[in-house]
Amino acid sequence: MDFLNRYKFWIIGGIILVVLIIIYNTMLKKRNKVKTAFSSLDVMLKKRYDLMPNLVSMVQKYMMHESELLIKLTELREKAQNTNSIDESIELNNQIDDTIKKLNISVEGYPDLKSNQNFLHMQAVLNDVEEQISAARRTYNSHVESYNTFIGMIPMNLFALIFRFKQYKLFEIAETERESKIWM
Amino acid sequence: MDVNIKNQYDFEKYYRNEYNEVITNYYELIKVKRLLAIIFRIIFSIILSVISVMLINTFCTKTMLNNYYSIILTIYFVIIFFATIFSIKKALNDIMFDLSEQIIKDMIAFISNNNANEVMYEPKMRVSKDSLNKMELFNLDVVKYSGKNYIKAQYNKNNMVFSDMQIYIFDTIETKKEIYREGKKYIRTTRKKKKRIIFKGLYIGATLNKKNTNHIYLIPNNLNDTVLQSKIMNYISFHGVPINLENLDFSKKYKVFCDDEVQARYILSLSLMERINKLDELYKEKKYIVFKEGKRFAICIEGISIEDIKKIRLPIFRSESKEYEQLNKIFSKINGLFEIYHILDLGNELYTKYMNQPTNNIKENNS
Repeated sequence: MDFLNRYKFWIIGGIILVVLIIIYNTMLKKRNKVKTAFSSLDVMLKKRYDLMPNLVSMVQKYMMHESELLIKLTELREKAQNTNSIDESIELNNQIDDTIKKLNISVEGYPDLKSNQNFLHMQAVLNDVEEQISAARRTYNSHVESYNTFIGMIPMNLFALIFRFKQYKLFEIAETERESKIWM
Repeated sequence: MDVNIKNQYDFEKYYRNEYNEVITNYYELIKVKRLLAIIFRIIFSIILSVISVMLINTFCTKTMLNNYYSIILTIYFVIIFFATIFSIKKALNDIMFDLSEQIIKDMIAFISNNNANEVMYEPKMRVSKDSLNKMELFNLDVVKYSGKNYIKAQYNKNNMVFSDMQIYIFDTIETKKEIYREGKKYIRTTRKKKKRIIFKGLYIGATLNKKNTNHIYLIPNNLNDTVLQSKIMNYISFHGVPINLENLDFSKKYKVFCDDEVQARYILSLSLMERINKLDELYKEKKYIVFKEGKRFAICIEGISIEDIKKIRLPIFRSESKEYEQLNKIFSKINGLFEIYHILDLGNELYTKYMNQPTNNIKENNS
């Protein structure tokens, strides 16, 4: 008892320190998981960036009236490729999704293009990449959700503020829309 | 050409136009077999009766039995008569059972749009140890397996394998008994091995439309047997980690283990999870699913078997209405197995149609 009385502040301090270390390590682990998930997503997105010039050069011969859409797609691709911010990348990729969706709708008006075997191949490849992006996005979102919930809870939100752990943005997209997207 | 799932109307048309005649031929073929089975059994019982009477007379048992002789002999002949009838019935049933095997093969050929000789059906064969080992769903170092009714057929350019399978382990039950000998106390320990079935159902192997680069295991959440769970899960956790997926209904039913989370989500897309939920509505029993490296995929469904389908026999003496009814039952059951392929949308080549074809070939085709 004498020992406990003498060192009680040290013991309490030690316990607090251990709790702090555990919280910090958990936050760090969760943040690293988010970063790893984003890097896998980034790999998939890069695959899509690589396919986009081929897509644009293939369809521009047929879709003369959609040049504005194609230019927008090229610009968005360049911006997305050069950005280092996760949030900006998410925003730009959402715009790319939107533009590709519009392009798909426009393709319906070009039967020659629709029946072109090379274009069909391109669509098939792109579709597979889209599926991979969707999988990577779901993984990223699940880790972001877990991380954001953890650092949002009391008292972790205080420690997050002290250790400068910021919340990440979800890569939000209507999954139902993605799943129902049919190219051919 | 893609094969669509057949329906009752297709089968009725097939039966009226072609299969009725095939069945007539089958009945013609088994006519001789049936006749031989009946004659052989009748002759055998007559010979047995004659020999018995001769033996009774030879050993003078007639005088020993006195007044009971005629009663005992009558009872004996009645027993012989019923035994002969029972034996004939069993022989005829066995012949119809063999016919059921042929009918199952024909049905598979019809449903999968193949010729009967293109379908492999081996009633006594099981899934090879090598291929089961490759799927790594059950740890064959721990469990044993048996199986029968191996079927292999090509369906929509996809090699499908069906087989009845039983996975079991031997529990060792130890009992201790106190024994007193010469005033000393001894403990005698006896060990007995008891067979415990872990899984009894149908194994289905097929090819998935997506290429997988790691192993994904789907294990039912409602496994009550803790030994079973640990035996399977220990093995699986060695390969991967459990992940939570977005579909709540699906997550309630399955635990998912994988090496790579992104790959698992790529294979288990939201739509595939929905389709597996749909399959659960159709077959409510436990299911073990594995997606292996490459495109191989296997599903083990508890509670259904080809052996049960074989038990649906045609009438011994031909009656078209009864025969159609029985054939329809067999057709529905086998068609249900192929429906799994369609529910899981394994035939969807939307993404893979040109995937494995070099671009040059496509250009040539196009020109």
